[in-house]
Amino acid sequence: MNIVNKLTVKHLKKNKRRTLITMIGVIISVAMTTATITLAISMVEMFQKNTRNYTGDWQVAYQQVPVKNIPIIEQDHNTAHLIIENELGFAKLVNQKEQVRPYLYLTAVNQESFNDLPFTLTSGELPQTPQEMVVSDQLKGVAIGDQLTLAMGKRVSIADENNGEELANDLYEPYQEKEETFIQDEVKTYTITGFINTERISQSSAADMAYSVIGPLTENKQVNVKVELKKINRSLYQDSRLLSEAIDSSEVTYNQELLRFYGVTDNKEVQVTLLTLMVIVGLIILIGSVVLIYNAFMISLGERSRHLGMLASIGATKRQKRNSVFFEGLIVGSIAIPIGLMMGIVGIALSLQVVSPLIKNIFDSTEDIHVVLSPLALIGVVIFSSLIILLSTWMPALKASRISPIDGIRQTKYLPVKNKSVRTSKWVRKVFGFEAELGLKNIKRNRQRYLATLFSMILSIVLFLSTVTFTHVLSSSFDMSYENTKADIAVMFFNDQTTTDTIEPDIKSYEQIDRIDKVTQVDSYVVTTKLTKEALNPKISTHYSDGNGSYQVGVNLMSVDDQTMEEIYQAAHIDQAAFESQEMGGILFNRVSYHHEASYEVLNISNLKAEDEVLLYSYDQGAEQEKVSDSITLSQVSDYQLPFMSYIQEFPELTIVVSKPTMEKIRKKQEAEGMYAGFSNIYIQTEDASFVEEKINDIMLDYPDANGHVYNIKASKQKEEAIHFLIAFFIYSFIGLMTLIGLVSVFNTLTTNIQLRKQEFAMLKSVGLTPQGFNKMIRFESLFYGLKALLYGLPISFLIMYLLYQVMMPQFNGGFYIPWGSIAGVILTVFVLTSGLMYYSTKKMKMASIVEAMKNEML
Amino acid sequence: MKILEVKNLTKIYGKGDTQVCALDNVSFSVDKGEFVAIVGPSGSGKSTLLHLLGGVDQPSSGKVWIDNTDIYDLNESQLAIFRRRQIGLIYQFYNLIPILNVEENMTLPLLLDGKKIHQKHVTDMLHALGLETKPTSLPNQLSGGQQQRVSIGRALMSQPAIVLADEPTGNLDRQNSEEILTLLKMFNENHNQTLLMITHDEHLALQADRVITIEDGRIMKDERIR
Ligand SMILES: Nc1ncnc2c1ncn2[C@@H]1O[C@H](COP(=O)(O)OP(=O)(O)O)[C@@H](O)[C@H]1O
Ligand SMILES: [Mg+2]
Repeated sequence: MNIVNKLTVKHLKKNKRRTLITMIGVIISVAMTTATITLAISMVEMFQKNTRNYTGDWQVAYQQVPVKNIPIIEQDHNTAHLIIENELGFAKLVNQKEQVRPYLYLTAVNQESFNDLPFTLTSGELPQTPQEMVVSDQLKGVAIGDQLTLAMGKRVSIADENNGEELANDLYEPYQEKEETFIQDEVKTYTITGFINTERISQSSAADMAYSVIGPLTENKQVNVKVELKKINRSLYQDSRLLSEAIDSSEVTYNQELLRFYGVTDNKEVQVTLLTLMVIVGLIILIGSVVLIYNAFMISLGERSRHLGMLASIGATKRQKRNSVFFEGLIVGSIAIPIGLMMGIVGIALSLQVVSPLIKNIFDSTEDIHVVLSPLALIGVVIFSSLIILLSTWMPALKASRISPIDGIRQTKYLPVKNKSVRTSKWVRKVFGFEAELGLKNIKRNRQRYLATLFSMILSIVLFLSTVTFTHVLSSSFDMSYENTKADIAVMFFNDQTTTDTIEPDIKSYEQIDRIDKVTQVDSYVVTTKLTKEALNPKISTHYSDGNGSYQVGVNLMSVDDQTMEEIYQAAHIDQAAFESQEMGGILFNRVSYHHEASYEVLNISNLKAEDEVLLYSYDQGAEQEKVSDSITLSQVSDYQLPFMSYIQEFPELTIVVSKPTMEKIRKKQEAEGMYAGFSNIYIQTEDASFVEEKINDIMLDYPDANGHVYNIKASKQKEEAIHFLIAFFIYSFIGLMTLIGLVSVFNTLTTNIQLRKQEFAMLKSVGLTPQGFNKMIRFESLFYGLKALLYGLPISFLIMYLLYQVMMPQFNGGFYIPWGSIAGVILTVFVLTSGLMYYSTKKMKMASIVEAMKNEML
Repeated sequence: MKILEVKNLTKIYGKGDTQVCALDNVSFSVDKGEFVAIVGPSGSGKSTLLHLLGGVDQPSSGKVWIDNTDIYDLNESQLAIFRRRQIGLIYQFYNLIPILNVEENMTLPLLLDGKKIHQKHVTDMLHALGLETKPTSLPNQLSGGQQQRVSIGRALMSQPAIVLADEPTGNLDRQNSEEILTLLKMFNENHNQTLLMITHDEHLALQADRVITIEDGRIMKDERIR
């Protein structure tokens, strides 16, 4: 090590505290970068695994490839594995109990590929021969070892039976009992070796899945070949198209869902969004870190300039002086970067441990999220961090190279002060006193350090307030997007006659399930009405315009069970007598939750009043036009939001509650015309939503004809909460660390500022500065710092907050939200912090006696 | 009239084996208007004495009265206020505040006192010190001699009871030294300013009214030469 570097090391050791602070800054910034990137990679990895579980492990699929051409694919340099699928197609079980789904769908695959398919073996073994198979565990009445006789064949539509017109014999062709039939080609026998769980394969209503092993095939037989690639990059599209021609494949398809998570997607938008986000995060880290580190090196250089000047006087070259600063950066980096890497990894590992269940829930993932370390990314982080340090040392190094022997002799412990920079206006002295003026001059004496401190403070303020706003906007939109409905579970049935017949006993049994607190039953029927423009809220009227001056709006007619009706009378202050005596009367619930772009808003949908008539239209098939089928007279218009009806809608409807007899009348009339299409909805309040959901699903299984669905509203709410928490968790961690960087920077400058002025303080005391005067000076210095930081920080924050609103909530009507609480907190924190820091550093310094300080030269 | 009285002043640094008795039971007094030079070998305790007189250090024992005030009877704030009104200190290193200009540095004790500053007084002082062209210069724009003149101005500005100077010319060349001494003498003679000056320089010491010689923390000689 040469002498210049030796001196550098000595200097770093002597200023342990500041060296440590610089390192802490680097460590935090490296840790943040590491954590951010590792998080992203881990998430992507989880998504990849999870998607594979659903789609199978392949990227490119060649349809209908002649068997003789398979070796060409196998020999392709980028092929890792093949899944060869010979789709044997639909089969009917012979002599078996009736199944939920009428068919079996049989696929023969090459034995090696069972691992790559998206099912799991729940019992038994995988098939070994073409005469064996595994079947879905949904299949009833069969056991391992059973020999099943299968009638293989095709589904054809009845209308075309004689022509033998085939239906698209696709797995997902829905089963239509009355319109299709089955033509048998041959009969085969298979032995069941095991059961598989096929939940992850999207369910077909027509068939259960079964897999067998591929047998010997003629060389022109066409099979589907799915390929797992060795290297996944953009060229796979081009390569596969070429290959597909070479092998006579009819079509190439891609596992887009999976490829998306390899960044090999044609969807530019997603990529741009992700990239922008990464650039923003990267820039924030970069700027924050550079300011901190640059500042630290500048301070260090200031203290070293005397050494360097001395070295210059005995012949150190420009290069040596400059390299001494880079060397300092090298030392700091080589210690801080590895520590930062480690802390980032440990930090994200701990965080993921906490949030893993949430992430699983939010993304419906079957996979846990694990920390995935990518050597390439870590190298990237090291390069990024080194770049930060290099960037931060650039200016100081340049300055160092310019230090002349004269600087060493003249001893510029302080960078030279310029008249201009310490000029203050007269009123400061007049109003606050001389000590205050001294404080203000002190702040301004070193412009570079002053700006760096100010910048760190402003950055922290702006980041903090913007984040508060951002999360507020985010959470407020979440809060509104919860279906405000009080229900935890909703069960919806298509209300045709068969369903209704089976529903009645159902409802009785729902009420018997434990843990149900309240059941609301609502029959609803959606029709349309036509309104004038004036009758609609102008904010939303354009949605409904048919271009001819008439506005077609959906009407959600509903009738509710008696107890619920009573509650509505009470809560909405309904004039019950008026309502019940009104012929074809209805109550309009005028408040709707309106969803537009990214925001939500509660507004009145119409300007309709009591006594207004709402005409209900239906489509007359005979006349091929719409006609008025009924008319409702509004007995009252209410601003009350029905607790079970506060869904958020993009095209809000008129919600009109009618009495049960009225509903029945309308229904009868519509049914007579074959037009009725209503729903029966049951809303359930319960503490234990998943228990109730399961129970109801069980009951529903007994009524396969009932056309209904169970929604677990509580679960979706919880999911939204989880998303909210997750976003807040990561944003606040990020912001916390960024603020910490800012803080460290401010700490560094303020304490150094004070330290360097030790003698000056002593001198001031010797000419008679009292302790009170001293405190006053320090107080004003912190006050001015705080004021300046807020003076810039607050307006910038306001601007960014405003922009955030512009971007995020184009239609937000709640007005421009200003987080006053947080602003007050910020102001308080800024002053407490600056004065706390100043107090801390002066306290440490009080020990130094005047006499000691006087012995040294000062200027 | 006694302006300064020192009684049994002792200063001991350190403890036990490393104990150094920098000042050993020193007593003397100075009358108003006197110009006293203090001489002695390096390490004999001159600076220690001056610091104790200036109220910037604490004695181990003994008392100091300036203008009939027992200065170590005052609390920290009172002493600070007393210093800015009654004591002027001049050091070998000029110890100016780098962010204040010449005029501000000079009037620092008055500024701290919050007193109204008579511009005439300031201008006179600037003239007397030969700094009339530099009132708004910052210290780092001045030569060593000029800086020392500013610090002399600062010490004299509040017309203190006593001015204490510790090798004020130690850092200056012959010609500058002479000029500084001439200045000090002028204030001593024209304004009857009491002055206590430590110096190595025999030639300078001989221009004083009285020379006190210190050795090993004790007064060896105290002779009036004028
Ligand atoms: N802070 C201190 N701690 C210990 N000893 C000191 C301290 N200051 C001065 N001394 C000692 O006191 C003695 C007198 O010092 P000083 O008054 O500075 O001498 P002079 O100014 O005459 O050269 C010397 O021996 C010196 O080493
Ligand atoms: Mg001395």
